[in-house]
Amino acid sequence: MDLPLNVLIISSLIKIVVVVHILLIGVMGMILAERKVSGWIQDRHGPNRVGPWGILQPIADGIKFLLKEDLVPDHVDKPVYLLAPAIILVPALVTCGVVPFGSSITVSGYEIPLQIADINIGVLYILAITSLGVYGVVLGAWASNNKYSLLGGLRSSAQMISYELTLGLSLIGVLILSSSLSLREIAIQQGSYPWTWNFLIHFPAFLAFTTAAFAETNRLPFDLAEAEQELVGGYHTEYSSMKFAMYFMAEYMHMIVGSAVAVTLFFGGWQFFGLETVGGPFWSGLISVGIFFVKTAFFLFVFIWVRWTLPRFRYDQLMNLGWKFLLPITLASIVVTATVWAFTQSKVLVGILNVVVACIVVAIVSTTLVMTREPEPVEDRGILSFTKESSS
Amino acid sequence: MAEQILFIIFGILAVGSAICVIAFKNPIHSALALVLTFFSLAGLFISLGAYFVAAVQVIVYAGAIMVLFLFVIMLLNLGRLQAARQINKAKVFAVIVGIILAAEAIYIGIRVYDGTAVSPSQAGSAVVGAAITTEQLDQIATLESTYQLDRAEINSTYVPKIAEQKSTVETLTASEANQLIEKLQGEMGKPDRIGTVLFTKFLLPFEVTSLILLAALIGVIVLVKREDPDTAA
Repeated sequence: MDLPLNVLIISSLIKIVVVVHILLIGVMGMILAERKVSGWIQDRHGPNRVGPWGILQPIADGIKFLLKEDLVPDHVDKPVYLLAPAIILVPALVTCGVVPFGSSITVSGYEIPLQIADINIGVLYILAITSLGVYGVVLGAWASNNKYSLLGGLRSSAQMISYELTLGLSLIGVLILSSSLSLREIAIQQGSYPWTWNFLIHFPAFLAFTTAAFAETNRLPFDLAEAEQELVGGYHTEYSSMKFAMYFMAEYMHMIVGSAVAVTLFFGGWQFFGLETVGGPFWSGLISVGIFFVKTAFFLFVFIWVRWTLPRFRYDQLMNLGWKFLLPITLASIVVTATVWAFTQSKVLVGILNVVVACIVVAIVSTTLVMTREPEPVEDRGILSFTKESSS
Repeated sequence: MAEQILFIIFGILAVGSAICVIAFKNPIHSALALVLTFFSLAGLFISLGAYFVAAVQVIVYAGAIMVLFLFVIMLLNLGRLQAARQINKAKVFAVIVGIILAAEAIYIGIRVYDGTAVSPSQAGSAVVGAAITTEQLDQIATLESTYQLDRAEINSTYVPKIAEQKSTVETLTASEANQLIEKLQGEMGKPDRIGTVLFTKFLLPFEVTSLILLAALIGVIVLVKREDPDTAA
């Protein structure tokens, strides 16, 4: 199990280089996929001019960003303005250091785990790094010295702080059952078959986690921080050229890393029907990596799919969803999981009761909201009141 | 050796950024320097083997409290107050407290250097091959009482990992005992061990702390909620 120091250092370096490059190539793939899928959803062709089927489009986009004029406005706070785009990339890059992307690979007698670092506080590490994601947005917004940017930054920080709670609490149920914080251990414990994976046992927590992940990446339907109809461009209004591209890349990197974490915690990691043990010590490792990539790609497709399907939330709706629905659901899920697990040790019962209790919580909260809703004030709103009366 | 290099790097970073916190005139820059200080402290915790504390340090301070600080500074637009005077009437008081703190720090520093205060590097000075010393036994006993371990568990679980033939702490040599102490300190940084200790030995302080936090929360809500019949509607 323990590798000699030189093997450890060399294999770790190789893994770091490969993972970072896969992440960057993944961003290029995501740019193309986003434009293609949005095209198909809107009954268009999507980009099809650059290269065969438009597959060179991300390179064209990248060259465009690099060659544009890099404008630094006079009124910005220069050190922070220059620092912010770099800060926003860091959390995405360092989180992938603890995600296990495959079982293990045997090269010349050494069994090398396919994970950069298996630390015993893996989940906490991810939560710690995620909580730093907000800095890039807030600092960029403030340093721009622009009202629209600042508004975007304020919205974003309020949103991220609210949904971070849900993100953290939704994982507690998983941790209770796994009794380990190591991501590799959690992935292995889920087993190879889809019906033993965590997303069935903790279904409400899984939905809350995914929703919070959408909010943390500032993606539609939670992209109030960059709502272009209201805020020009939001927190990156004053950024141009490669600095804007770094914000852009960070969003896609956060999506990729978020999907990878979701796969590890809720979808059994690299395991699927025992496929990851086929073909000897070398090929089985590569097959497990392939399974992991396919699962992550599915999640990334869901990210794009949701973006081009749902409209943007209103600010009060966003806060209501976070504080009045997702937070009580995750809290109830923790209580149910802990109680049932202490008395029966039955994962089936945990899964069923989680869903039942989540439904009860939603029913109670929505009834309370409807009962306590104040009547809308009657006022003359010009043409708006006309449309309202005619529709009712 | 690597730990000492890490300690020096993070120590310099922590002190330097802490000085920056009070030296910068712009509140946002000060807040950022404070974030760097918290990170350096997390780094120091990691070099001591306390991974859990390091992660919690980043989550609570760098991730939550400082973001709220920035949020408030941005909301109040304090960035405009760059020309504000940084020296005020509390100057005399600050100087006195500063001198007391510095004197304390120097006193502790001298004591550690003399070896009269407890320092973790002391354990490294034992002679190779000699039998386990009484200081090391004391250190192990302290670890036991702090982390709710018993000697049987150490003997059966941790001692064979250090020296394969031996099964009791007393038979170890001094250098092996050092390894054992280091290993125990590393193991005790793990979350499950901290959880056990928190919910058994330190249960009362833990619950009292959470009550204080609850009281603070309720206080904030009471303060913010205005009992004005005109605006309460």
